[in-house]
Amino acid sequence: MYLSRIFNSLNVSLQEQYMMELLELNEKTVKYGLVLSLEDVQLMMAARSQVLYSYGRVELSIEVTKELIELFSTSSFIQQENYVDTLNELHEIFYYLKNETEDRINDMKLLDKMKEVFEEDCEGSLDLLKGRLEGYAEEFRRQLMKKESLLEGEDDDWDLKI
Amino acid sequence: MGSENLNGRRELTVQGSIRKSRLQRNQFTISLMNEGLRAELLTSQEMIRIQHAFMQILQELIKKYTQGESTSVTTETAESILTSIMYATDAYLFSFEEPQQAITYLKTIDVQQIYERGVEKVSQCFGETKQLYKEITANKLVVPVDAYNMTIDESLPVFLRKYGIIFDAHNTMASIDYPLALDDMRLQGVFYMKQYLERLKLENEFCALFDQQELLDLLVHYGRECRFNYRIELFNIYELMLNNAIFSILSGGDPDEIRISQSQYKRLE
Repeated sequence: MYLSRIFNSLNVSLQEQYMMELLELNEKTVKYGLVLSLEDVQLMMAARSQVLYSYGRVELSIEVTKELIELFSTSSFIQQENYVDTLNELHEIFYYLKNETEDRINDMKLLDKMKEVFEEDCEGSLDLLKGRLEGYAEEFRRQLMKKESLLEGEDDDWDLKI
Repeated sequence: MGSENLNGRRELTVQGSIRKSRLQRNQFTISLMNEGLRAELLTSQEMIRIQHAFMQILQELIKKYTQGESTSVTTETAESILTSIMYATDAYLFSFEEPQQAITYLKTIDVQQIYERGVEKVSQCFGETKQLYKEITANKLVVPVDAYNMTIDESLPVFLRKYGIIFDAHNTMASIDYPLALDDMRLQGVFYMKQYLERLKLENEFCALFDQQELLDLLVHYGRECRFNYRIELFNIYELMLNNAIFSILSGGDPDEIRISQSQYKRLE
């Protein structure tokens, strides 16, 4: 199924607007010495589409990308030379985590978690970040299973209201 | 097949062109659109417009589904919601007597409206299904047959509790073990469940016409005859009763005598 690509093509008319919105973020990030050119944005969007396709996800907006830029541009571990590559990696980690946490954690909470681990635990290492968050997702799923097995018991006791 | 309504120029290509045999109950709208395109009742531009409208509905529903917590979902989730949308649309378009009318609707009416009318149909069907279930529980046979009891007491309530008209309309999320004498398994979702309950209700009413002690005795004999534990085996009670009632008539007895005597049996031999 090509829903991921269909959605992208549906949003063609929005692509230009998305690009503009992302470029406007330069005004905020320039004070951290980070700027995206139009070509950077185009490449990043292409990489993002590829990530969405390969992780089997359908994305409705550009909000996550904007949040990634705003949150991570404040990091002292990100330099202009590795800015675009880092953003591409962060997109990949984010959508990977969405799948691995079975969509049970909302976008903002997940982004905040990524930033926190990136800054405090990994000191800017993306490899470490991926490893730590894999562990986080695993633990999250374990807790989820535990919770669900408890709920299942309760579920059987529910009265039928019809 | 409705082609007489069309003008002479189109009649050459359109005459008898919607082949009902090509329309599928489970993917009615999609097969109807494909058939419409083939028969030139729909242009490719119209197809694109309709598909685009479905995608817009999908986008809106994904937003509702994530409740603003996430801007993305897995492809499987999106596919499932899209299937649910198509299920509701099928429910409305299938109700037209002639598929050509349904195509006219697709061409002229806002797809969002068609979808909403479909949701109403699904919702109405779900209401009728719940009512049927009430009637069935009120007139349930008292028989020690596990599959029959578990289906009515446990599986059907799970379906009624978990069925989702918007996001899960196509799902038949219940393990229905009790086999009916006649069951149209091509149906899905609540339309399947409704027909299951309608038929089960008829079967129950039929079985209730007989002496209930004789019914219990028959089950015991049937188990012995087949050398299985009738309490846990999967078989249809109505079919068993019907066979014996017919057997009784053929061997000179009354239809309500389901206990076949040796003399009756010999008579048929």
